[in-house]
Formats: sequence, structure tokens, C-alpha cells
Amino acid sequence: MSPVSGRPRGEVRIVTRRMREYPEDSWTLSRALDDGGYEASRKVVTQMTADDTIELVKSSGLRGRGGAGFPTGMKWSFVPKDVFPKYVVINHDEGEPGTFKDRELAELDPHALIEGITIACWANQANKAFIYCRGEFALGSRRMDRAIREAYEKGFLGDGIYGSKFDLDIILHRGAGAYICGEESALLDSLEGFRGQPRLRPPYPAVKGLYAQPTVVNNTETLMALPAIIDKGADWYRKWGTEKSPGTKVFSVSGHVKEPGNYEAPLAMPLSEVLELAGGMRDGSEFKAVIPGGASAPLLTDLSVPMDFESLKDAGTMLGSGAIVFMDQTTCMVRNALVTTEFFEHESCGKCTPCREGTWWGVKVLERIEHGEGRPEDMDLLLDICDGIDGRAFCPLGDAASWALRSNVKLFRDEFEAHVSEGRCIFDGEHKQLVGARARGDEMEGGS
Amino acid sequence: MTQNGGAPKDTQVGLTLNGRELKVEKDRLLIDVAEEVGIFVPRFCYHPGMKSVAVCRMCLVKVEGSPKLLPACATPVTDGMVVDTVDETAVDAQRGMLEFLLINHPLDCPICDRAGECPLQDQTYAHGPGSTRYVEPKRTYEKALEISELVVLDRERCVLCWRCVRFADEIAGDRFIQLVDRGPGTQILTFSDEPFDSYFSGNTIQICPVGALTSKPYRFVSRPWDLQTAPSVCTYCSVGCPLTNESRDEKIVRCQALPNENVNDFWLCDKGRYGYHHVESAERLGSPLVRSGKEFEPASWGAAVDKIVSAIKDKRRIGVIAGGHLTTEDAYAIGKLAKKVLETKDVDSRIQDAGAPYERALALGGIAGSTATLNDVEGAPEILWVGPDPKETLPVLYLRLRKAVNDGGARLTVVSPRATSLDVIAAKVVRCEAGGEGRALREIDDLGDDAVVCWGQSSPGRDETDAFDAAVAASQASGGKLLVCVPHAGSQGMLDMGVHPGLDAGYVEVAEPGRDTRAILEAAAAGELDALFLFGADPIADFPDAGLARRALEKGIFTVAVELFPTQSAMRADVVLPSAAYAEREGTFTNLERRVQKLERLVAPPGTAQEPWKTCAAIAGALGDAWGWARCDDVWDDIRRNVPTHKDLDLALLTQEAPAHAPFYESAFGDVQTHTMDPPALTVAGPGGQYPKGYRSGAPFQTGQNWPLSWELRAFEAKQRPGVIPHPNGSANGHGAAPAGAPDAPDAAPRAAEGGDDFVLLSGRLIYDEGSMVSRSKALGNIASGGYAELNPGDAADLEVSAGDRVVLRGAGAEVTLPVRIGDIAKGAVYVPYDQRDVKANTLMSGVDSRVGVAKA
Amino acid sequence: MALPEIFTGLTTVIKNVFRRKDTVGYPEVRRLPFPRYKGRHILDRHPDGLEKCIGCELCAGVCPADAIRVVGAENTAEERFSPGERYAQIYQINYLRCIFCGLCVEACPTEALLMTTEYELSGSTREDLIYTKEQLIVDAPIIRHWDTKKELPPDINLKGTS
Repeated sequence: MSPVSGRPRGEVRIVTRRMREYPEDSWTLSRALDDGGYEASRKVVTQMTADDTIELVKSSGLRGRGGAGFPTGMKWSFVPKDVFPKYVVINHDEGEPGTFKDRELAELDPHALIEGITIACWANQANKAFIYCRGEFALGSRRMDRAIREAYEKGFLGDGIYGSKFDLDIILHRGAGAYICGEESALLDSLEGFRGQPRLRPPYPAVKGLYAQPTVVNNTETLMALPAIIDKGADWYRKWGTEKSPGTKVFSVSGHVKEPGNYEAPLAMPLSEVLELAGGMRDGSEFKAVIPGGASAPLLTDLSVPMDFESLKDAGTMLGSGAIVFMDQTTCMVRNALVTTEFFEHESCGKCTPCREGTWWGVKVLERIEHGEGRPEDMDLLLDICDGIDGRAFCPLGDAASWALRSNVKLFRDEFEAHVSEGRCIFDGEHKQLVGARARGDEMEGGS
Repeated sequence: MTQNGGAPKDTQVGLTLNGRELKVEKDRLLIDVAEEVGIFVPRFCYHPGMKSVAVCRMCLVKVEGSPKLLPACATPVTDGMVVDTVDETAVDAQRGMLEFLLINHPLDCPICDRAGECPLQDQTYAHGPGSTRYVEPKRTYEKALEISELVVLDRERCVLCWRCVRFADEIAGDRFIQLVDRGPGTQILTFSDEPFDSYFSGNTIQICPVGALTSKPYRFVSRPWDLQTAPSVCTYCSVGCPLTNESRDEKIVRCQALPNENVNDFWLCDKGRYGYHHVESAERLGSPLVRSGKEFEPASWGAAVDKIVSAIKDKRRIGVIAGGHLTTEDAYAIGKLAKKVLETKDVDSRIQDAGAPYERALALGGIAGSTATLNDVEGAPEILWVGPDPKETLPVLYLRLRKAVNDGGARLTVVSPRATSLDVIAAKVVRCEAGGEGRALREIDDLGDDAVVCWGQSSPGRDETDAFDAAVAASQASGGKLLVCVPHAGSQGMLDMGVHPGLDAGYVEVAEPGRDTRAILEAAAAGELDALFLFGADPIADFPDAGLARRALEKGIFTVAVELFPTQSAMRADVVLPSAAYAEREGTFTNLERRVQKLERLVAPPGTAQEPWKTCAAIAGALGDAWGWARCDDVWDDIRRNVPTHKDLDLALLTQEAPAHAPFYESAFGDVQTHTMDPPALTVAGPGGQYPKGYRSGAPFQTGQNWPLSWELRAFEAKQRPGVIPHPNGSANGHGAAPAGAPDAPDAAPRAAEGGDDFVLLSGRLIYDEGSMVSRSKALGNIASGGYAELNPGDAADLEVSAGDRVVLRGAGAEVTLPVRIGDIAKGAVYVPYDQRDVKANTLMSGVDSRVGVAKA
Repeated sequence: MALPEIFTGLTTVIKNVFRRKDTVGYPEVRRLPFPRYKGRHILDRHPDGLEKCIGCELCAGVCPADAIRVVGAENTAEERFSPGERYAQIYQINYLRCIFCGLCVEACPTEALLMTTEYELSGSTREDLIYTKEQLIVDAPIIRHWDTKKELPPDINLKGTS
């Protein structure tokens, strides 16, 4: 069966194949079994060695789909071979604004995730896997819970899976709603029952992770790509994408487009084609800017950039989680910067000074500008605040906050200056309610 | 260990720091290495006593080859590293970080107790921007929350360095203070229904780099530049934590820990930190008192001494009892007065620990005390603890035991008839029956090599010779060392200086031992003594048989008491002589590892109160033996001449000196070459020695201030003498190898044979009690727990009582009603804390190994 | 020989006999000091009557003559002396030591400590010249000339002092 099917729009369906072909029951065990599910994991556990599995994944060039794009096979090879127990942790704490791929993947195809987890656990010889599921994902966690129970019943999980001597348990853990727990070391702290705050590195999780044991932390989408790679081989997977960024990626497209949604496409597809996948800009909308990789990623105004890790890095932004937000001419970029920075301020864990205080200050300045109380020096101040955070924060969250803010100020400085000189928001009107949604002062005072 | 003097070459790495080539031991933190060569990297969260967390991002420095600036507090040095702490980017980061920290800092320095010694203030002057660009309202919280009786929290000032949280978690193990909320709303708070009731809470105040945690008793009392400071040693337990006393207008207003990695690391317990109020108590004795009839009349020293001399002249049946809070010099003087001048052997210093067989340790190392140091404890692979709950009695030793187990990986075994706070970190807990420690110790078969065996008397009034012998044997068998936990700050000095019926100064055994405390009191009660001397001793409150002590003192024997306070015992004496308190005098304390540490005088004693050694010298002089002592040094000359173990001890070496190099705070600006300043320019004379000069304060640097701790540490390492003094005769030579002949167990007094004495009475001090010094602390008075009776659940069930019910305890003719606590205690035993407000456990004791009757009230 | 010198001297004397006198007949005649003359201190109040002084001891800290003694204490809800947490429980200026340099006034973060033009400070005992808080504090907020933008007669500053 060709992965290219459905509407001829350039979509390549690998991880989304089952859910798109059988939208009515893709999450059920019967459908998964009918569709060849659990064959790849059975093959791995019963026929392949752990090292072969790692080699295969390495040669496929699969890179982490959570944001950093670290090669998955390489990550696995860092795990010490002779230390037990080891753990595999699935980062299903998808919280990046604009990203909704993992939620849909786990809701619609939980069995493929379990299969991917089995492969990762076998490759790393880990007998326990933890799915750290974002707390808000009610449907997804119910479906994963059911899928896990079904897999146990079938002997795909538990003691001696597929008749082998390999034991595997999957524990589903629901988070409590903190974006920072998507950062792998904060996720591990949260999983252990502590405050979700990033850990000092080294030691890296691969060496000392969950409960101070070697731990592999992988994204949901990364793991869901594994069954197909095992099934069809590394060369098959490398048919798509570039040499360094092979394969496909699920893009969460939103914003002022006709058909927002998740679209799986080969890496290195130009942004303009991704926009076409989503039906193009809305009628009457004119493309203004795009966030190419989730709220952390700096903005782009050029639609010709290929969507792969290297090209976007060269363009000064990043692929991130693959959340693409298209914005049209009605978007106030000050408000965009404010909403984004407010998000990071709200989600900052408070551990390090630059992120905690820098995002707070950034929000204060942006609120002033948006409300027409900006001063001419505020734009430089904002850039200084970004410089004060970038590269100095404890973890990437702080850096990300500064990237997003800086690109807004740099690319649309004229818009910021117009706010200051006009003494009001130049887009005032329909979107006003986005601003100052939280009555911050009261909230802080209420803490005592 | 941080010393790198003797490190072999292959563990060293070469790095370039600000253009300087350095060779240092590898894996040390960059921030420490830089500080050692005089380059101060600003910091808030880093503290040398705790693990790095790198959250304040203040110590970012440029390391060649790294794309980002690296936190110096979390970066170990590696070979070939090229570091620049004053690179433009690093300086910019440091300035930027201070601007960030200050946007929400209230800048209420004029009313903040920290101002003047505030690391945030100092580092802002040195590294921060001159002004702020922040114009919006600051974050506000309710100010000044009293989170305990001792600590006040101001969350607005907090820079969220986590030092307090990490201290409470890592060091003290009392997780009472935590981070709450997240992002810019993150705050430090206690749990709403629990106060910050840690025995170590004061340390968080000292290490707070801003004024977020301040001391309630010190609140608005003084400014750092008003304070006179003198280094001293805590006068409570035998750990002997070095501290500074700080006074304003001749009144001590606070104490701070002086860091010494060998003794207390960086810490003090709250009893040591807040227990200084007794010095300025209005009840202090300021003039000699001479009894006339039922009343006392103030007298001159001459008249008082004359009265003593006329009463004891040519009398030879004299008993001398000394307390545990006197200095080594006092101990020597008391020993000399008793044994040489009064010619009596009936001398003892063991009151609460009456009968504790310390002299039996002579068999092990020729020393009536520890062969182990506290560092040995921390470095030991195996620790065996037999004794009281160290968290209550030796709090800072408890911290070091925790560190030994948690960081050093020591395997801890605890043998005790009741639960101790060590149980949670112990690898093995042996719950023996009351008095069964010795047997339990002999049954332990899994003790590894090189174990440090710690022994302390677990319960006053009990004969624990068997347990002590077993501990000595266990230590011998494992080839390790022994830590003897004497109870008080001066107890070991008393043993060293021969205030003991069986030992002369320098652990020389006497052929015919004299009477010990119990025997002295019994002799007094029987009227067999002519005179009794009490030096800082209050047998009625402390001796584990209050009835006997009372009978002895009410017999009408001529009694002389040298005391700080009009204690129950002193008020039954014939002549009462006032004594100077620890902050009012020079001297030394010898701690439980026999480390000699110096006290400096800070305030004047009340009236004509003077050091007990002067009193001894005056009495001896009046009896015709002039010792010629005028100063503390004279006493030491005498000690050096006459006590072989102490002949090499140089008092001058015990005085803390300033380090050779101190960091120059303005390292971020100007020429790198100016960073090292000549040592003289950095020091100012302070009481008791040289102190590093504070930045811009113009006043002597307040030692014990929180941030340049690590210099003080090194100063101590370099200058302080280890307390272990080689015995002149070698190891155990010259001392009876068999401890059997030593005078140990007190003569078995007839056991009170009252009906229904069915429970073994266990006791022991809690950290806060009715001791004559600690009970006068204005800060700690409210938080003493009060009395209770702890029972085994089975026994409680038999008595049909549950927690909170009241039981009647009957013993030694006394009767007391106490609330019940159910605890992990051996069956058939009841625990009553010693010397509490509503129960004096020693009134229930009579003879050795007392039993009490327990019944439901 | 010495005649020219004597003559020069006499000339100076005679010249000055007819010049206006620089001295006044104190105490019958009192000279008005300049408005910013630095004389004895006062402690000001806020318009609501609370003390401006917060007992921060900065004046004492900066004093080169060590003439000021301040001891702070905490305000309570029942007994409030100043806004905020801290007030001066003891405030003393020793005028036997004060050199009227005004550094204390500059150091004061709340503008509580001000100097008046009063210069007649004398007493017969040491205690007389150690001014206590009761003597230094004004009963009502004072008007300073920079508040009114005009130079007031100097003794207006003393209005309300005890």
C-alpha cells in the first residue's frame, strides 16, 4: 500500500496513515491488528538484537520530532549498556502553542504508539516505559489507557512479551498542566513527584535520568515513526526529506488558513506548499508572517523556505515541533509578541533569574506599548531584555521566549514604533480581548 | 577535601584564568578556584556547603570553546580550560542579571536588617548597573510573615536562590520551607499549617543572600556597623561549634556561625544561635554573696574568700563538683585547687552523666575520650551509633552524620532502646531493650572495617558501662575509631585536666581513686564531708537523683558555689561567687573530638564576676599557694609545664587570622592585575585577631557573614590545631590495658524498692529545656516541648491509655502526671525528657537504674 | 627707627574706627542667620502625623563625629509611629559632638531629619546637650522653603518644635 494516498495534495502519510485511512475506528485494537499493527514490534522483539535495532534507526536518520531534532539512534547509543534498570520515557506533554500533532496521534492511533514504545524499549533493553501525558489530554489518555490494557491482554505488554523473555510495562502518567514539563529533565522531575523544573546537566538523562538511572526520553511522533521504519527499512524512510533531515513530519497548521489541521509531509517541503496543503490563506487574507515551529520559533516572512531542520536554522528560525501559524495583515505584531511572551511568563518555572524576571519585564513593557503608553526607547529595551535572557537562562524555555520576542521586534519594528508614536494600538478593534486576559496584579497578591 | 597541598600531580589540571596560568586539583568548581586566587565571581545561589544548582545565573563566565557563558558554580575545571571572568560578555551578563534581580526587589534597604552586610547590596555596587530601566510597579506580597518563633520571611526581597530550601532539604532534612507557585509568582513559603520548626532554622537566615529571611530576635535591633564582634565557641553541647558573638552597647544581640569544615561546616543549631540571652540576664550574679542566717549578703571578694579560707582551713574532707560548661583553664584550675591545694581526690565533673565510664576508653587509645575526629566520622565507611538522639543533644553532629551517610555513603547502624532521628538514614536499626545496648552491640556481626563507633550516655542515671565496653570492643574489632560523646562544651576539658576522681591532668591514672559525684553527694548527705565546692554545678537540677542532691546540700555542710545564676543548688550554699559567662572571657573549650578552640571576650561581666580560674587562684592564694596567674596565657603556661598532653599547644595559634588573599569585589572592573591586594590592606584589627576588611563598610568585616565563607574556612584549616594530641607514652602504653580496675560504676545505691516500679525510666535532654542558660533565652523560651511520657504501644495498651491521655509516674517518692506519647520505645520502658518545665525527670530517680511506676491518671 | 611701623599701625586703627561694625551686641542683639544655615536638627512628620523617621540609622552611620544614636523597633498595629515596619525607638543627637556638617540630613532616605537655623545651643550639663527624640521631633509637619518656592524667614522652621 502506498503511503501516498487520499487527496493528491503532496501529503505523505506514514505515522498518520492508519488514522487517515480508517478515521472511524483507527484507535481500536481490532483495526490495528487488521491493519498489520504490532508486527514490527513482534519482529523486533523476536528476531532482532537490540544493537541491530539501534543501527537500523541510526541509518534511517530519524530525528527527534519534539523540537530539538536530535538524531534518535544516536541518543539511544549514548545509553550505557550495562546499567540496569533503564527507562524509556515518552514525552507526550505537548504544550507548545500551535502544536496539536501528538494529541491527535495518540487519540487516533494509540496502538502504533505502544508499538513504537516496544521498539524503543527493546533497543535500549528497558523494561519500563512511562508515558508522560499532558494533563489536558483527556480523550487521548483514555484511549491510551484502554490501548495499554488491551495490549496487556494480548501479551504485547507485561511479562515475556510476544513469547520472548523480555518484560515490558508501560505506565501512563498524566501531568498537571505545565509547559516546562515538556523539557525532558523537568519532565523527569515531575514524573518523580517533584516540582517540574529542569535539572542541571550534566549528567544527561541518558546517563542519569529518571530515578538516577539511564533514561531515554522520546517524543510521541518520533516513536510512532518507528514501526514503519522497522517494517520497510531505513532506505525506504530516507526516500523523503533531505540527507540530514530524512522522512516525514506532521505539521500542525493553524492561523489564518482555510483548513487548519495536522498534515504529514516530507521534510524540506517549502512553506508555500505546506500552506497549500491547508488550503491556502483565508479569503481576503494576505500573508504577513508565519511562525514555522511553534511559539518558540522566530518568525519568518519568506514562504520559500524548505521545512527541514537545517534550512530553517539557516533562515534564523527552527523547525521545532512543526507547529506552523500563518498570520495575515490583520495581526497586530505587538499583540502577537505580548500573547507569546505572556505565555512564556506564565509557563516559566521560576527557577532561573533571566527567564523569571525577563519574561515578567517583557510582558510589562509590551502591555505598555500595546496600551499606547510606550516610549521610544522601549524597542531597544525589549531587545536588551531578550539579550539578557538568551543564552543565559537555565533551560531552552527562557531562550525560546527571547527568540520569539526578538523576532517580533526586529521584523516589525515599524509596527512597534507606530504604536508608540500613535499612542494606541494601530489594529484596535476586534482582537482587543486578547490583551491582558489575566488580571495579573490580583493573582500575585492572592498568593499569601 | 578541598586541600590541594599534597595532591599528586596527575590529579591536577592546568587552566588559564583571566590570563593567569594556574595548576589546580581537577574537578574543583571554577568559582572556588577563582576565589582562591583572588578573583571573586559574583554569586547568589552558590554556597560552598551545599550542592550547586546554578539558578541565579549570576556567576556566568566566559569559557573559550563554549558557545554560551557557563555558570562558574556548576563548571568543574578541566585541563587546558581558558576562562575569563571579566570578559565583556560575562560582565554584561552579570550586570544584566542584577538588573533583572532588582526589578522586583523592593529596595527597602533602610529598614532591612540585611542592609550593610547584604550580598545583593554589595554585589550591586560592585557588578550591577547604576540605575534601572524598569518603570512599572513591582511585585508585592504581604510583608514580614513570621514563619516561626525565630524566623521572619519577606518574600518581596527574595531573589529565589533556593539556599534556604536546599539547606532544609539537603543539610537539615527538615523540609519545612519550600518553593510555591511558579514563574514570576514563585515564592518561598512554609506549609500553611506547619511553622518552620527546624532546630536549624537560623542557618537559613545566615545564608540568605538578601533580607528575605531575617531573625525575629534580631529584628531592627542593630545595624552591622554598630556591632562589636568576637569569635567564640558555643557553650552548649560538646560539638563546640565556632561562632561569633556580636554585641551592641555591651549587649549581645546575635550569634552567627563561624564556618569550620572540621567542626561545624557552616552551621549552628538554633540553641547555639539563640541561646545567648543568659549572658545579659538580669538574674546574673554580680557580686559575691555570703550567707548570714537565712539570707545572703553581698560581700567583697576579699571577705568572701576569707570566709571560705576560715571555714576550710585544715579541713581535709572536701568534695569538689564541677559542671560541664566551664573552660579548659577553669578545669585545670579546679583540678589544681582540689588536688594540690585542698588535697582531696573527691573531684568529679560528671553530673548529668554521673558514672559515665569515660576512663575505660584509655584501653583503646590512651585517651579518656575520642580517638576519632568529626572528620573521621564524616569519612567513615561504617558508623555505629549507640547513644542519645544526636539531633536533640548534639545537633550539629547530627548534621555531620547525615552528611556522612547521604554524601559520604557511610553505612550507619543505630543501637538504641528508643527511636532516634538517625533511624531514617540508618542502614540498620537495632531496637534493644532498655539497658540492653551492650548485648545488642555484641550481637552485631555485620560491622565492617574501619568503623567509627560513637558512644554517648543515652539516659542519665543509668549504668551504661556495659554498653561502653561493648562499644570500645566493637571499635577495636573493626580496627576503627571511637567517638565519645561527652555531654557539654566543657566536659572533655574537665576530663583532660583531671577533674575526675580516677584521672589526673593528662589522663594519668591515680592509684586510689576518690569519690565520684554520686559518692560525694552521698558522703555529704551522710555528713561525712567538711566542705563542698560547686563550680558551675547545679546537682539539684542536673544530677540524676534530685532527692540525693537536695539532701546533700541541705545537710548544712559548708558549701561554696561558683555560678552564673542563683540556681537551686547555689541558693543552698554558704558562699556564692559570681562567674563570668562565655562571652565575657577569654579561654578555650575542648570539644568531643578534643579540639581546643578559643573564646574571645566581647562584653564585660556583671559587677565583679570573674573567671572561675581566677577564683580558684584567689582561694589557693589565700590558702598560701600563690599561682601567679593574671591572664589566660599564664594559665596556659602552667598547663604547658604540667600537662604533658598539652605541652605543645600554642594559644596564639588558636586565634583566627585573616587569609592571605581575599577576593577583591570589584573584579569586574578595571585592570585584572589589581585583583590581588596586599594582605595588610585587607585586614583590620578586631577583637581576637585580624579580620578581612569589609567592602565599603568602613567597619570590621563581620565574620560569619554569609558570603565569603570559604575564605574563613581556609583560614581555619591553616591555623587551627587539630585537637588530637599525641600521648607522651605512645598509644596505650602506661595505662592499664584491662579497664576492669578503673573506678567506674558508682557504688550501687540501694534501689528504691517501691511497689509497682514496673517501668525502666529512660530520660535524656531535648534540645530546648530548663537548663539554666537556655531557659533564659528570650527566643527559645516559647518553643520548648514540655514534659511527656513516651510509652511502647503495647505497654500503652496494657495501661489502657492512648496518645494524649495522662499517666501518673511514681518514683523516688515523687509523683508526676504527664501526657502520653506513643513511640517506638522498648517494651517495659518509659521515656521522660530531662529537665523540662513541667517535669524534672531527676526527681523521679533514685540510685542507679531507676524504675518508676506508671498508671493511668 | 620704628616710627613708620607705628604710623602704619595707627592708620589701620583710625581707618577702622569709622567703618561699620561686624560684631553685634549679643545677646541683646541677635543676628539673623542665612536661611540655609545649618543649626540644630528636627525630625519631621508626614501630613497624617506619622513620623517620617524610620529608624534606619543611616544618619548615625554617616555621622563623622559619632554624635547620633538610633535604635530601631518594630511598629505594631496597635502602636504605630511611622509608616512601614520600622521606627526609631531611641533617637538622640549629642550636640557636644555634632559638627553641623549636615551629612546626616543628606543621608536621610525619608527627609525626616532636617536642620533648622537655630544656633543657640548651650547647657550646663552633658545630658542637657544630648537631645532626645521628644526634643527633636516636631508636633506638626513643617513647611520647608522648597515646598513653597520662596525663602521664608529662618525662624519659621522652628514653628512647632518643642
